[in-house]
Amino acid sequence: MSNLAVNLGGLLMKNPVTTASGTFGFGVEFAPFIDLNRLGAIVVKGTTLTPREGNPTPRMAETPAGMLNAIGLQNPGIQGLLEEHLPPLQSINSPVIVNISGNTVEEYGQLAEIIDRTEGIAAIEVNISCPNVKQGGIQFGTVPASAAAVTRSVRENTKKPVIVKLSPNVTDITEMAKAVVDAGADALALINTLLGMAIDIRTRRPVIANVFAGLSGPAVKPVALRMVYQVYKAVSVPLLGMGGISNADDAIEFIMAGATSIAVGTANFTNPRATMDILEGIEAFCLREGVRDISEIIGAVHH
Amino acid sequence: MKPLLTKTVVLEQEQIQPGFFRMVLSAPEVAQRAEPGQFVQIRVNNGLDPLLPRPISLHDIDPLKGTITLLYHSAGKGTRILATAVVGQELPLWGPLGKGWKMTEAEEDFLPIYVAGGIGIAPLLPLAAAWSRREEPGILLYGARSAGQVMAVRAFEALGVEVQVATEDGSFGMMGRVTDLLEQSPWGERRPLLYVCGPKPMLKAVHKMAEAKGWACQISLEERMCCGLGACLSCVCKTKAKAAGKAWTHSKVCTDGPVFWSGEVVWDE
Ligand SMILES: Cc1cc2nc3c(=O)[nH]c(=O)nc-3n(C[C@H](O)[C@H](O)[C@H](O)COP(=O)(O)OP(=O)(O)OC[C@H]3O[C@@H](n4cnc5c(N)ncnc54)[C@H](O)[C@@H]3O)c2cc1C
Ligand SMILES: Cc1cc2nc3c(=O)[nH]c(=O)nc-3n(C[C@H](O)[C@H](O)[C@H](O)COP(=O)(O)O)c2cc1C
Ligand code: FES
Repeated sequence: MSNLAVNLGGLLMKNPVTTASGTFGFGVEFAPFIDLNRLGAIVVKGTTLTPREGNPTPRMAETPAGMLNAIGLQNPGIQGLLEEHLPPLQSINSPVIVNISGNTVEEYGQLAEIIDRTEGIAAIEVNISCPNVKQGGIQFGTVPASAAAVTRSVRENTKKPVIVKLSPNVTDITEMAKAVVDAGADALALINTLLGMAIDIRTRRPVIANVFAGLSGPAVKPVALRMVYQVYKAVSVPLLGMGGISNADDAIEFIMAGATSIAVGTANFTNPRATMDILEGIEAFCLREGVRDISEIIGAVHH
Repeated sequence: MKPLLTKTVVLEQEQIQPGFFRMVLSAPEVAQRAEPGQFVQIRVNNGLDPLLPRPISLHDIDPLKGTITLLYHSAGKGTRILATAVVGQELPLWGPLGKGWKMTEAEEDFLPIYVAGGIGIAPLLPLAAAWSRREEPGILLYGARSAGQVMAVRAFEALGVEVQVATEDGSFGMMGRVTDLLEQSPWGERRPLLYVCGPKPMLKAVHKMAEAKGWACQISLEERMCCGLGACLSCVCKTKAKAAGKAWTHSKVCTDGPVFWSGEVVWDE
């Protein structure tokens, strides 16, 4: 057996396979299909300070080899998460990563502070693809100074590993990556969804109630892979790669482009066992190719 | 019962009306755990397009034979591909999913009234089978656009269900709508329990009648779905909030439903 254990910015994972926030609920939803203990980590649904009902429906539309979603961060709030959804995960032997979102820089800090003093949460993933309410709703993740401010606010409030999740909806993702690493990020996750839309030509109206929505799934994979490649060259912190990964070959591409770990998102909807199939596929690849330690192939394409 | 992911095999596929198909699948473990009103997430092929599974109700559940039956309208991209599946083909699916129809305690002495609109007939058959095992087969009130969209009537009759049909063009049964059949309260002195499945405007109209007349009423909702497991939050509907100070909350059609008491739902838009 090859050694698949990795260190994602201080978060030790027994293997590189984790779940993309928002596609895996709170983990237990997938327990009928997979052994959650085998996951390298579990990333739960995006959490905010107070509960949110999210956007009106339709919130989802299928597109060729992809899907659009505009869930709008429906979640039970951090207290709901801690009281209701964290306890069932405590018996599971995989680290839990909580994905956080805020309306303001201060909210991110408050969330980080709460998580810092909560046992049973191993790391924080910071979703910066949220509108900054104080700055006219421009996404934190599209302005380097705002992204850095959010990162600093989280960093100052926690000693746990901070993984900042980048938005692909920017001109130069390396600029964003550098800004958040300078502000104290231990690792970067990428990519979040690509902004898109769909129109119902019979009603002459957008399909999604919110008009715009985030594109994910196999359709975005080449874009995501390119961004992981670029960011790997630009910064020296480890990367959590995602975007359209649906099988082990996809995952290995991301690892070779520079990802230390990978997350499975939309693929959970086409195959609820996708995470396990991918993990087993990575194991088989390493065996077949004589890879003794997964670190041998991280960023292999650059060497 | 927990859902499972399984590769089913097509045993029968038949076009029973233009554009409407009945498909029998070998799925013993699903058949053993399924209840009336539950559904499966079925993949129509193994490719990346269409990417997502399609939610389809269980139209017949046969634990002895180890089969499930789907009755579906080939409406769009995915269901049109499903309609090309041939006997012997493997189709992956996961299920059974969701909370199905609620049967009441026998002492409550309700008469089940199945209210179907078009393809909404699909999930009502296994419910009628369950009620007829209790020797209370009930009445089916069935509305469709025309005779070409009336299905499964004989299967209901075989269970001892009394069937009344209304078509908009009068080509089958009475001319009119399912609400016209309801107006006549064909259950006489009995206490009706309505089980309703059909297009949203019909659900709303039946709910309004049931509310006004004090009839017990369950409805089965549809929303776009990804996971069917309560994980993605694509499929929500507005329901009355239990917490104080809030008018409504979002419930998940896939795991809180698809069947709700019609009074639980917020019927705004
Ligand atoms: C719980 C549940 C049970 C259902 N049971 C049945 C059944 O027994 N028989 C039957 O014919 N139909 C049933 N439907 C509706 C069926 O799921 C849709 O007709 C089907 O998904 C349409 O897919 P398509 O590929 O034909 O259309 P497309 O236009 O290609 O679909 C595009 C996307 O929209 C979704 N979508 C489109 N229409 C609907 C709809 N009405 N409800 C939910 N999602 C939709 C699709 O799943 C897909 O993700 C059920 C829906 C739900 C939610
Ligand atoms: C239904 C859905 C909900 C999502 N919710 C979140 C979220 O709450 N927070 C977040 O950071 N990303 C969220 N995402 C983005 C995913 O985590 C991931 O970055 C993206 O989908 C790309 O990966 P994929 O193509 O493998 O799905 C969501 C994606 C989907 C499809
Ligand atoms: S379909 Fe994913 S939560 Fe209902």
